Amino acid sequence: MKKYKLHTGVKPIKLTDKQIMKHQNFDHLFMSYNDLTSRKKPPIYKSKKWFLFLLLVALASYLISEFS
Amino acid sequence: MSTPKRSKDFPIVLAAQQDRKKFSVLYNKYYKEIFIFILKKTSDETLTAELTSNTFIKAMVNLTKYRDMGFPFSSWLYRIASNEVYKYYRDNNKVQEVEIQEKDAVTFLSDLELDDNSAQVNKLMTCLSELKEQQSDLIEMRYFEKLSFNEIGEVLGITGNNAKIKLYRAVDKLKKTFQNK
Repeated sequence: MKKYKLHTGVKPIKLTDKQIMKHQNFDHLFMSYNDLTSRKKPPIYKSKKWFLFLLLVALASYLISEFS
Repeated sequence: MSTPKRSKDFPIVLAAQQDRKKFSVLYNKYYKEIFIFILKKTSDETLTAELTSNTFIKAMVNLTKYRDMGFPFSSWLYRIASNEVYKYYRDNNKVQEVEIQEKDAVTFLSDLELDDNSAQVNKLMTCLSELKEQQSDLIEMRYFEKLSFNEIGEVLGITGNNAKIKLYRAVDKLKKTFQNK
């Protein structure tokens, strides 16, 4: 929502080119863009196939250790 | 058949759509312009830097969706920036305060052929606050920031004539609200 009011006499903030440029950083922006867009690899246990595989390996090792 | 009108930035945008690193050209070209635009709305340097970054990141993320309709690329950035500012105030439940110079308010009232005494000026502030965001933006740009219709059109991504029509409607709405108060 906006609220309009009469100017109170305080000068509006004006920055020099140098002050503005100090915030300008494409490398940083590009990093943020990459962080935002790069797909993070899901942890191995979150993949259904890998989860079943790990479960079978665990079960097999348990059975081998129990009956050998 | 005529070829569609393209903006000057079209080749750079095309290149940036293929390789986001090339977006740096557009970033460096429009950073200051967008920063100043947001600063006018927030009056806060740190917040402006943050919202400017958000604007450019959103532009990079959505660059493939950008369609060149002949307007400068900056008009698309202005629209994203406006939305970012609006979103910030909405998400934080804050009221965006817009300060108007008294002489500009008085001139505006005379343009509307309304009395320009101090009571009317205060009434004008209330009525402006009650307008829809886009309508008050139009009035701000035209009467307080003194932009031409073409410049307003560029910011909003519409033609100068369309901006004129929309402004006329906004002023009409304002006048009606003003007279009913």
